[in-house]
Amino acid sequence: MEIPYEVKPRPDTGLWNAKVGIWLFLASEVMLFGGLFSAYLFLRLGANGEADYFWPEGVLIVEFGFFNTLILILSSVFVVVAWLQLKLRNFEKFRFWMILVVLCAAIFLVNKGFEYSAKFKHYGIKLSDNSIVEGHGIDDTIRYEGIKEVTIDVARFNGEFLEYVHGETPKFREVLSTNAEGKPVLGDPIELSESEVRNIEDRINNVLREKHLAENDEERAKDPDFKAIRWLPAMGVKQLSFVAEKEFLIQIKRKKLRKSFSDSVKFRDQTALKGTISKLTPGLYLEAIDRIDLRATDSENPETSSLVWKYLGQESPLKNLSDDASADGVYEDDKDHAAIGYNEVEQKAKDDSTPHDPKNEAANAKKIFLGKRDNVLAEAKAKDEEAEFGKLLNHSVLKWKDEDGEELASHAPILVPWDDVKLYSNFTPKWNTYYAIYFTLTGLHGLHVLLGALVLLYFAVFGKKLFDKDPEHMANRVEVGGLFWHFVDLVWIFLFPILYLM
Amino acid sequence: MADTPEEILKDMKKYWLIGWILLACTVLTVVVAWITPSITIGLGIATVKAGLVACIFMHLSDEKSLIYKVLIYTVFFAIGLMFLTLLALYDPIIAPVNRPN
Repeated sequence: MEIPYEVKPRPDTGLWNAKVGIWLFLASEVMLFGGLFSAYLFLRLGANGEADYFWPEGVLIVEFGFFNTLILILSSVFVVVAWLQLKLRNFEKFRFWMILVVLCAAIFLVNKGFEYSAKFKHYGIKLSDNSIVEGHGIDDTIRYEGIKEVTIDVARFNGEFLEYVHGETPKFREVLSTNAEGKPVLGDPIELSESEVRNIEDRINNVLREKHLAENDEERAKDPDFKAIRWLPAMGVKQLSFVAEKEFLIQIKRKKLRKSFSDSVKFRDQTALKGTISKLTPGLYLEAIDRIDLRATDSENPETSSLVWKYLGQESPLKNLSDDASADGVYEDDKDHAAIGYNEVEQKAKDDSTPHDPKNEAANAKKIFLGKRDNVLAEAKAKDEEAEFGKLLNHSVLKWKDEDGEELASHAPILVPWDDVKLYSNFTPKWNTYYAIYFTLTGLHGLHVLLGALVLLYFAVFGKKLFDKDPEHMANRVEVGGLFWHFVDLVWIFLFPILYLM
Repeated sequence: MADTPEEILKDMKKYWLIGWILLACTVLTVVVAWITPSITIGLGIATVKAGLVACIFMHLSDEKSLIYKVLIYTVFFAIGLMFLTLLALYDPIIAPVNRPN
């Protein structure tokens, strides 16, 4: 079928059809990104209304964004140059410039990949007093000891907790009923598994169903008009309790749990275990702190009374254990610990000229924080203004030079007791709304770069046939692809200042 | 639009010139943000850059009326979207509270 007006303009619009098409598409794209920019505005202005949430500013590395802006602008020039080469009927030169465009897109995406990966490795912890610490090398291992009692939600049970039992998995006895003294009557020891739970469920439900049907018959015998209620799955057994033959312990990453308390723990399938948190994992551990933010801290004098100062410089007992030639062999089967990736940071800390003493590092971090705060105060005083609240209590604590020129550096660890952890996350949408809109906007833009580059690559690789047949048609196709590419560039022109510079 | 080789080569020069201006504007944005972080200046420069890309690279400075008609509606509604935020700010649930300082 011949598609009309691919090259010749349509008399009523004065345009070839694909051009009208791409502009309609770009109009819809303007609305799509417009909606997201509006969401950005909404979140940013809305953040001003939150007493304990401050819109993060200057958290992205400007160099990354700057470099990517230059790359995209250059690629935009290359696209029009490639198009003009087609107009000059020079396919080889067109192909050269188009390949350059695709290379620019690849560089852009790789650069973006590095930026994303840095965010995934960077963690923040919000403490119960709303103080925030940020840094690298999280260890959210939590261990529960002395577990005997297990309660499961029959419908949801997936046996997940069994994977995290440390050492030998004990046999379990089902709690059948309680005797007159309130003591449990236990069944035979069994190997607990999902299929075993299904068997028990069927066994109990059969009994319940028989009982239900018998009750129906009884009622019907009394009253012939009685309407029988048929058996429904919801009438079946909902919870089962088990007691382990001997006490066991579980070790798991806190983020995999639904809830954790000091005396019990709940998995995502609602399985609840009763046990105590081990002294080896008293809290959430961050290997090297790089920023402390006390702006939202619930205290009159956060610079001295924040919980951060209380916990800064404490090492994880579990870490010392693992350093200590794997101690009692607890870690022999535990590959997780090595995979959490804080060794790199630890190495950096060790490379410092001074030996790595956590207490010393913590003292330095506090000195740096207070020093920077004093600098802000002094600067404001020199200008005869009041110091800006937002700048007083939010500082990087990696390094600082004091008035005497003495340089201080810090890689302090922190161990926050589980009860004092309000939220922890890497820098993803879970951490705050800034990262939510950052990943939405840049992720969608990145997808546009990828798809645009694929289309342009297609033109460069497979365009010769059409070029030989009808060079003007080919030029029009490239013009349409180019218009899309310029739009992608145009979106980035706005994204760069609003995300990186403001 | 250029059709003779001479005109095309002239256009090529123009596109390179605009490219250099855009790169310079990007450097300017960063320098200005470094000296004095100002949302107005940052967005102002971005708007100028976006205008150059749209008018020159996307040929909007010399286009047929149908495309302008499509874009006028788009721009109107896109700007409208930004003002929805203002309505939300008057919602008592998220009305700004007084911060310390």
